[in-house]
Amino acid sequence: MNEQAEDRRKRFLINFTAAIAATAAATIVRFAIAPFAGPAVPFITYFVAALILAWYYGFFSAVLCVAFGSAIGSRYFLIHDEPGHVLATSNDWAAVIGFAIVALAISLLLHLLRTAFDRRKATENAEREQRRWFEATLASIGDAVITTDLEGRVVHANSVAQSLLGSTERKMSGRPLNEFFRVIDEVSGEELDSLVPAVLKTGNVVGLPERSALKSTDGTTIPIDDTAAPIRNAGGRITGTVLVFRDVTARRRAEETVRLLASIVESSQDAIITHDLNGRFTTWNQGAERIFGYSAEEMIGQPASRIAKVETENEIPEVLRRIQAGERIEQYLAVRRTKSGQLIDVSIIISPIYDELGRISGASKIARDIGAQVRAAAQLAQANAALKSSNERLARFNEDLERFAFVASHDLQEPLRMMTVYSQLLARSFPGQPNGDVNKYIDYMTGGARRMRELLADLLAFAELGARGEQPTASTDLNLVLDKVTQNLRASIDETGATIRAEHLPVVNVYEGHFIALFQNLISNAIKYRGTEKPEVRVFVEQNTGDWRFGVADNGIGIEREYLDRIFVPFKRLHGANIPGSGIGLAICQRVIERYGGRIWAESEAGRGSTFLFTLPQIARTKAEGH
Amino acid sequence: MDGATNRKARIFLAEDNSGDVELLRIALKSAEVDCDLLVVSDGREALDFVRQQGKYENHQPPDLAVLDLNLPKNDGLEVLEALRANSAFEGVPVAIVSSASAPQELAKMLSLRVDRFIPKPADLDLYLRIGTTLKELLRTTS
Repeated sequence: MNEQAEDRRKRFLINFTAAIAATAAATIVRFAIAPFAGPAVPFITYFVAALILAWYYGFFSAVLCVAFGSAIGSRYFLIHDEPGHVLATSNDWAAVIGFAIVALAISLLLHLLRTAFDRRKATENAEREQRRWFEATLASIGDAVITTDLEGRVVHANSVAQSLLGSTERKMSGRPLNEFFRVIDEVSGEELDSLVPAVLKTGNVVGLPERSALKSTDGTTIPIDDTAAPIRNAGGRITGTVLVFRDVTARRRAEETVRLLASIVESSQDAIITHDLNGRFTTWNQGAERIFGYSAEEMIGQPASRIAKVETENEIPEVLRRIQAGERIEQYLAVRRTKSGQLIDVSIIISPIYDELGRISGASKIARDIGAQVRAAAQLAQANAALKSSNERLARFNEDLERFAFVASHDLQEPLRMMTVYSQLLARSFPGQPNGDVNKYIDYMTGGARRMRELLADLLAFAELGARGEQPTASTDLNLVLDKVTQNLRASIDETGATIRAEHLPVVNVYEGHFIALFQNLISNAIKYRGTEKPEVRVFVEQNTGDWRFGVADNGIGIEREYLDRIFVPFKRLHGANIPGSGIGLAICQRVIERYGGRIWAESEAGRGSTFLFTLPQIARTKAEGH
Repeated sequence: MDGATNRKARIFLAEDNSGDVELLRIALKSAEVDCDLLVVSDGREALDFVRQQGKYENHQPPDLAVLDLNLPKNDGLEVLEALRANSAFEGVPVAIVSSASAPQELAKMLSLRVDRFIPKPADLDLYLRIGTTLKELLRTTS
């Protein structure tokens, strides 16, 4: 207030001083031009001074100047013939008053002009200032900003807008916004109406719909979020529009991620639930509803003990304590109670949830119904136990069988041995006994005992072959095997005049004893079941892919076709006591061959000799792994 | 030892089968072995003998022990083991006369040192030959 008054006083003094000074200057100038001007134009210099004052110092100064000028001019320059007479005539008065009126009128006019001029200049300055501020603001905004005039032509575009639109402010300025700024619906691809006319028409703030995208000149689209608002001047009149828009690619992506995660949680077959640190449920997905039977509405806000089994309710505080310590609990197996009261086995993973400040705010649980797994495991365990017990039974049975074979071979042999030796002793106790019948009877006894011993020995050999044995690691030369067999059968070969011819046989990975038994049985059969001619036995071998194929062929009596598949059955014989035999030889051959993974069969016709064929996998040649 | 051939040899026989005992007697006789045969028919009694306990407390070790492996009560291997553990029986030859045995039995028998292992033969001549074998055993150690 004081300052204003001071200011006014100062300005008054300046104006007053200027008026005095201007009047004085005008007087001096009028005296200076007196010799040339004479009595004419007495007030001319005051007139000029008044106009100047009016422009620069205001109407008040001009009034002072006109007042002083009228007085001084009337006294000194309004000169008549008679000196000393001031304002002597009516003409003088008319001149003074006319000057005053004209001067004041023009001064007033100038003063008004000046005032108007000043005001306009101030307005312009203010506008310029505002515009500078506006531009600085636009530049500092992180969003893209474009302003338009009432015709929708670009006025400003900040740097973000320029880079998003791929243009410069210079290029855009004054051009219709539509040329640079085209918005489409991201889904349909249809172009959307510009926001500018809507803003101008309604005067309201208008926004773009969701899923809008900026279509750039090169055809790529950028999802944007756009708002347009009117710009109003001080008088509230709309002078243009301002558009603020931003690239929402990142936000859209984040939203999509959130949606995706939410849909994963919702569609999960597992129960995915969260609870706060008080143990109250905060989320409850469909999987949880499926497993536990409760809906989200029923469970949110409820304590976690709602689904705990009664006896295990005290687990929950312990779990909460571990979660609060930031621990993650993996594969926690628990029993839970469903809405229907059923108890189910679940596997749970519990992890702490952190808030934005990194504090633990709750826990998330992923629970899986493992009832089926648990049942399957139980069934498996049961099946294993059953298998184990049947294996044990089988092992016991095998042991019994081996034991039986041992008993059969040894304990049954003992009484036979006694019978044999004592019948021999008996025969020797009656030397030269005239009654030959005694010796004949003793022969039957010893023969029967011997046959029984042979039978038992064969039975033992057959039983022992059944026992699981380890695979041999040594190689066996089958040519040497055949030599030994020929040696063993020497007596019957010589007796019958048999010939045995053999091809060169391979070296194979088998137990020698097994193949001695095999070849001895086959060759002795060939001799035993001879025809009318001398026995001829041929042993041959051929190598096929993956196995050896052996053959033992004879020229004997042959085997009728219908019995070919019965001859390998233990104790099955085709002949009576006229040809001795236990009926176990071919069964032994079959066991030997099958033990090494091969196959044995016979080809024959009655009266045309027989050929026994068997295969042996070549794997048995190098390294026998399993059978 | 002087006059060894004049003194009757003392043979200890553990055998439960009286048929075999008789055959062994015949075999020894046919080999002209003049001996006293002490026969026990089960493993328990055989153990008493080789440990020199019970009714055999004052018995001297024999000149030859002949054992069957398959004896009632305690088996022949136990008897053999106890015999080897008794130092008084040191130097007594042992012959096992038995029917064919399981491999582990044979292995144990061999580890306990036997002087002869003779499978019981199913032929009279072979049986009689046992007498000769036992006679040789007596001769080498007397």
